Amino acid sequence: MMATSAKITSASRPALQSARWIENILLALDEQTPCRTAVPIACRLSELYGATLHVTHVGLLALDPREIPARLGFTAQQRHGAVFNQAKGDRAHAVMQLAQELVEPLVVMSTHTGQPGGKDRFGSVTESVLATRPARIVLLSPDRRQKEWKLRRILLAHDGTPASHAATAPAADLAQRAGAEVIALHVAARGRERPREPGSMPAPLYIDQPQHEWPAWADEFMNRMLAAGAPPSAIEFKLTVTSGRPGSEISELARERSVDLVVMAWHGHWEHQTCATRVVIQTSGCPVLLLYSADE
Amino acid sequence: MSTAVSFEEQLRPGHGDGSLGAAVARLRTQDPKWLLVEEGFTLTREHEVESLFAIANGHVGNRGSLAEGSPLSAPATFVAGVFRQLETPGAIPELMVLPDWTAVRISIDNQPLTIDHGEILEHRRILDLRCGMLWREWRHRDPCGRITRVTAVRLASLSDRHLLLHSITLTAENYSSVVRFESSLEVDEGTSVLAPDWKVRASSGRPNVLPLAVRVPGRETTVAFGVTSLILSSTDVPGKRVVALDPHRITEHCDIQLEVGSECQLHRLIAVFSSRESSRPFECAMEHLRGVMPAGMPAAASAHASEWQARWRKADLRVEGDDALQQALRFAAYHLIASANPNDGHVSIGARALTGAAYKGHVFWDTEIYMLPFYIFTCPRAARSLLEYRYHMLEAARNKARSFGFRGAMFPWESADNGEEVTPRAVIAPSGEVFEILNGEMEVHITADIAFAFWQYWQATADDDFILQAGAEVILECARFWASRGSLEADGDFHIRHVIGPDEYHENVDDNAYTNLMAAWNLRQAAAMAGILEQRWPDHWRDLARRLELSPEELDTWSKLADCVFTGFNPETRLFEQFRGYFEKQQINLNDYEPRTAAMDVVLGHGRIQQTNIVKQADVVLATYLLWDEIDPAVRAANFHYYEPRTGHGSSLSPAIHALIAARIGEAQLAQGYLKQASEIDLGNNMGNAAGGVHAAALGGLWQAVVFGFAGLGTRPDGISFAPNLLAHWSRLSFPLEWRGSQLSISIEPGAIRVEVAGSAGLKLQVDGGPTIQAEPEREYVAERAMPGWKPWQAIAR
Repeated sequence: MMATSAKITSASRPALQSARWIENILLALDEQTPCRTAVPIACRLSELYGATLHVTHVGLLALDPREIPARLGFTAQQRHGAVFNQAKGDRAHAVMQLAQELVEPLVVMSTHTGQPGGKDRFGSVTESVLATRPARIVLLSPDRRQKEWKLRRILLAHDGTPASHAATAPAADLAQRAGAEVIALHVAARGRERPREPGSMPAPLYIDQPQHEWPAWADEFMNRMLAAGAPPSAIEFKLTVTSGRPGSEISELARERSVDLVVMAWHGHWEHQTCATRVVIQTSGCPVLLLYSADE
Repeated sequence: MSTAVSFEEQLRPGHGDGSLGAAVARLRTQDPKWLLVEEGFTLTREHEVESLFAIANGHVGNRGSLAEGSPLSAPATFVAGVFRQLETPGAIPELMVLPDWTAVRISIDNQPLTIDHGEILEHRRILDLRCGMLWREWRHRDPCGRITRVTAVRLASLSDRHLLLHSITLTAENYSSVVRFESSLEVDEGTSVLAPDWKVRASSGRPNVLPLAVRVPGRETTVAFGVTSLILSSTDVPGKRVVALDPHRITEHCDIQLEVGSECQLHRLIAVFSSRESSRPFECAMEHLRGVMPAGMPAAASAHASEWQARWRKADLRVEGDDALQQALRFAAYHLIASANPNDGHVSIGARALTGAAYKGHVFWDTEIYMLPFYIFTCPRAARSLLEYRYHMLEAARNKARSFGFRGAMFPWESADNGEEVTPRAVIAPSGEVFEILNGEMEVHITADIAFAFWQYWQATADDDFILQAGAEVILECARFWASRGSLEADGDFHIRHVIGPDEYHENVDDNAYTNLMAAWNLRQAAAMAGILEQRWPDHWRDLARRLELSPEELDTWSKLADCVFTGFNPETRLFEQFRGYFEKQQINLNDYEPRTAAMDVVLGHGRIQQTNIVKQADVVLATYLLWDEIDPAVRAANFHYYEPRTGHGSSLSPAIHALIAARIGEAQLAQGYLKQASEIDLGNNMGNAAGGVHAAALGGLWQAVVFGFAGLGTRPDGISFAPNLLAHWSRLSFPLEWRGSQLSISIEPGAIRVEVAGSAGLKLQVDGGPTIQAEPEREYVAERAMPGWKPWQAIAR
């Protein structure tokens, strides 16, 4: 709908430097079974990124690193190329310490890593790691169990704010590596004020004529997402819009469309029970990649 | 096959004192209240900024894109009335995006200077609303550490609507290098048109005026551009200019050696003509430029600025005590002035005017109901040309009526360049739902809206000539449509079924109150107008009646039908039912859905919202405004109080009308809130929906809200009236107004209304429910507030 322009080309977007995107996968595990749901995801992500898999044991009892693969149930194939170590002292601190030492790390862990928290709380290590607001983290609910994980469909949750663009390139990059498709979901939110960030593009408040407004809005939404998010140009996004509470809408679509990974920008909030991030992690039925983006 | 011709010439060192650029810069407005400023650069806002900062003159419009582009630039130039029609199935006419005449790339030692490489030290775009000029100030450190200052200005001349101007001044702050300006103007190969003397021109030694033209797909229209440029440098080193011409592209680049602190300037004049105005658009463009060149850019810019100031003298609405609103009002008037061409009665204003490609340039009821009053009272000639557009499309409206089995004129819901219905038949929403679009068939109130606009123009201008030549025919043919569109049924009422009212959340309804009230007005007014014509211009009336085959019986039928139109009015509740069955719809409390980020039809879904009582926009409330004097005050208030809390304002047209009515009925707090909402539709920086162009109707609505709502302006056959409702923090509201040839200056303070009358005719001034005076030309009058009421008008010696 927007005027065609020779100035909008994929070539003019900054090229994503894929090789530097993720170089290390940091998988935090304790010896509890629920944690192990993260193993196939971390292994597959390590393959997709060509990244080194670092497995750090954060259980209460210290293990000899040589014992860790067997104690944590790694198959021979999964052990290949992985680095195992034992976290010492404050487990969460140790995870983040290692994350800081690694180049371009991606933390992967179950929501139930560490001591069980109270009702509606994540495990103690997970909570502590989240509190440090890691730049990138994949979280998944233990409900998933240790099923094989294939990445065929990615759901990019985008609230239309410039901060959300942080998730666009990572979603597209992963899709390109895995040959997956990307659904970009925008939820017209109830119970939320319109975002104040300049450049925000939530669903329209005025739809004077839907026959014109929707195509124009969709074009503009995608234009901004592609220009600011700078994803690889080969990836196509399928935009869809729903309305309601963002967390439950994202989860519902993820389940409906058998999504394998939800990718979303994250402002560092997860504590509140109705927080969209928490709801998605708990109810989407798939791993969630959070990309930290500070509040504007 | 392309034939490239290039030549070089050595540029002589120019007058690097900046005299030419300085002459234009002197025109620049310093008063910040006249400036819209976008500071810095936010990539994701770029499309919005391009719309807001668009320049236009009613003939040509150009988005405020960066000359060198950015990852999210959508430059576009439009010429009013130039629509393309692609051959793809389902394609509809759309305002064509024409070659971008503003594209200029700058390179320093072969390194492109772009906003996304290096460090932005300063960047702002400034829309000078008073002079209609877009300025850009940019200071940039490139990755090599070179600091460049760029000042640019562009305009679409209001005094010469075929003329565009673009000027760039570059200063090398801390380096000595070769700077290159490269500009190009290009069209798709398949649509280029060769100038008749292209080969001769291309092979000439020094083609100082360069031609390019585009053939509009699906239309027999050609748009021709002529370009001329001038380079000035403050250095002593000759520069080099290379021009390459081929049939679909003009590329020009100039290399200039700059020393530290020196500057160079690129000045470009562009002429645009289409075959709509001339059978020889190429020649016109070339000749036009040759005519402009001797006086040059300063004269062109000065004439343009003078014309803008003349328009502002008749249109500047001032609110003292609210700077944000003041800016919004000037922004609104700026775009409205820029959108209309008083000299072209074959074009109208699209929903996004000439500022963006959204809505495809299509013309809706927006023009007549929301924008036209601004023109009627500030530039009647522009109002007349907009109405002429409808008159010229009358035959197409007759054809549409016939195609539906009706009589008279059925105007299209969406109109482009030939008056045919161009509403898309379906849309796929991002939710995946496919919506059938019924507006082209059912949103018929536009026909009464157009008739209303002709009448309103006539009442305010007394332009009898126009009403005789065009207006009467339109009003009569619209009435004839209504008589055939509805039916007198067994209950004795005239019903209009299967319609969509302004509340587009409810489709295919019967007896929409707005539609029926406006249809009744149209039927009644047409019959009354026939009587006026017969009495005052009997010969003309005889000819017209014969030509339209209008019999006295048919006119008599209209009067009777008008009295029988079902309006859904309940005298006990004083409410109009918005349509049959509205009161039985599911009651939704909109507060339960607040806060929300989107329109209610997005929140609830297209199907669900039709089952509810949520109203999209002013519907019954709008009718009470348009038919104000025909509706009892208690009825107006009752309907506002009933429908306002049920309105979701899912249309940008809605807040302004609610502000207007709330102000009139004394709901100050509501009025203030809606006025703020209306003023932020385009200017709010988190809305996003201005990306495809400004909301021209909302801008017109904002003007109306202040003039008709807060000033409480009313028009009567013999004069005007006021019922001021200033907000508490306003110390003064003042505006010029043209009424039946008199130029009025109106100033309203909390304690007094002052009216200065200029022109040749007097008029009656009235304070609503208060004193009246017959005002004489060249006099000033004041009415002071008494407690309660108003003291009698006093004439003041001038």
